[in-house]
Amino acid sequence: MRLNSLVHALALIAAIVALMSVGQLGIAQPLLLGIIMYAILAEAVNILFGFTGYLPLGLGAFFGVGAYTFAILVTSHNWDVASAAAMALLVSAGTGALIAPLTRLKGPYYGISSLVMQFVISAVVVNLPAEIASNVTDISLVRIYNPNLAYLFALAGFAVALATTYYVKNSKYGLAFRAIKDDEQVASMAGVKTARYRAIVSIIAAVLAGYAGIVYGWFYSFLYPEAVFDIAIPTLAIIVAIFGGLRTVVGPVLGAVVLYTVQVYLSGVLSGTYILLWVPLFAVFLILTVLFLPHGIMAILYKRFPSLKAVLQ
Amino acid sequence: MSLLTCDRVVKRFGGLAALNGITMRIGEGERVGLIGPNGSGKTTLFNCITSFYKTDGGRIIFQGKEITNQPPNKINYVGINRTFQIPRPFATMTVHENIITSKYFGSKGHRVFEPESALDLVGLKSKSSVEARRLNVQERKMLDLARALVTGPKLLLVDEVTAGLADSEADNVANLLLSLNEEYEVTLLVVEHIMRFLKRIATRTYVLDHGEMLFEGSVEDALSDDKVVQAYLGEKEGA
Repeated sequence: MRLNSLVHALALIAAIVALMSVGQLGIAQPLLLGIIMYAILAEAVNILFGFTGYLPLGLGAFFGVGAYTFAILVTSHNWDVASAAAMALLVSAGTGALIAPLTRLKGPYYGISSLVMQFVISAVVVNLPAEIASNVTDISLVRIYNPNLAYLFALAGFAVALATTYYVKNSKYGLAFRAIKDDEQVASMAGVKTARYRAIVSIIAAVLAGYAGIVYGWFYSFLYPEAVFDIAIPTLAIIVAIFGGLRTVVGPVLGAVVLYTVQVYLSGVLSGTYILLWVPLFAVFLILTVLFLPHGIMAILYKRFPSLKAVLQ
Repeated sequence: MSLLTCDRVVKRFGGLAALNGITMRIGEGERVGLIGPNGSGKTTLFNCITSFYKTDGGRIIFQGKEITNQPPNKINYVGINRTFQIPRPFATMTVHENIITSKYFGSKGHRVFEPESALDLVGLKSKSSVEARRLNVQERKMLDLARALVTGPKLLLVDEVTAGLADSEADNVANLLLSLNEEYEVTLLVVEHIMRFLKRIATRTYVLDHGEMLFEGSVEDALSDDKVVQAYLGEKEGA
């Protein structure tokens, strides 16, 4: 039974990842990479918000820490890609642990304070001393530019993100996170070491978002703070997760496929002066989603095709 | 020897002393009542014992060890659990998930109930896969109780479990609590408004009023005590 469901989960994740690996083949690569990057971010939102109830408006803090640690190590310190990525993940995890006490705050208070944290971290990055990082406001990673390899790296992170969500959903971690979301005091009375699980969820989200940041840095190979710490990134990730379906494994992926594609298309159509119009359009879209589709498209799919539920867990 | 000792416990909200030096002693295997008018501090005392509130003074001792202001999960591990006046199930989780969360994370001590038998005992077995927010108030109270039972508590704090129940339902709950005490050696501290119920459950009772311990003794004596009657009638007490 347990082994069966494990095999099932692995098969499901492998199938989705294999589907996305067509991006190796050419012109669709940038679009698919964006989808994968947002799917990873949306899984972080899924775990932090969907399961545990913390709306991460400042998820870009972790994304930026991942991207900049990676980029700075590669450019200013000549690290190779693998070591720089590993260290960037470690630093992301550390940032998640450092910010974990914010999870004492609930609801909008967490959201706002996490957003403030993102501003603080972006200010720190911009003002790093020259011995640590030179020219942070305009980093070029042309030395390691390799979109195909970066895409494979993204795929690996995507598989890890799906596996993590699957594990959270089907283990005691999911129970602890959901109990904290529903009533933290009662969760503690039921025996959950709530401070520990709040720290764990913060670190998981930080590592996933940091991974997405490394993907961004490596694939685009060009970083400046206004782009990396743009609050449109966590905002879109949150909309993707809600639209796809919180507390499902596949929902955030579907959300990313639909919404990132729409965003790219809109940015194209609205080019020039109006390019940022996609932001208010998405804001309206989010309001409509929450009003009419609070459980996301996965809920509709499950309703229409009940047998899907068994396949997608 | 005493299982739980509250030693001059104080809880203040701003200038108001909700508990003004409460002392009580509960022996192993006892069934003790805790009564008093609305706002007298009964639930506040429960919240102090389980650290839902931080106490401002005094000590709480369980089996000889001080547990004052330990986090609720540690209170759980030493063998204390509780129900809530206004039930607090994990609303978006199913009945079964509520129970197994407590089973996974809670104390593995003393006389642990398996999830299935706890649900059977409180009559929720058929609702196992129902989301807790879909339960009615009585079912939620029973879910609180089952969630406490799977941790095998030595001491169970029961907060107004009969409020809003029909007499026959209250009788069933009384039988359940009695059997927990007699067959499973669960010590009970019961907050209750219905005296008929309290008389069946409790062998003795404490009476709180305005955060002070007004009375300690048998339920019958409590009900014929002048000060207690006055407190319940809401008259201002003479000095």
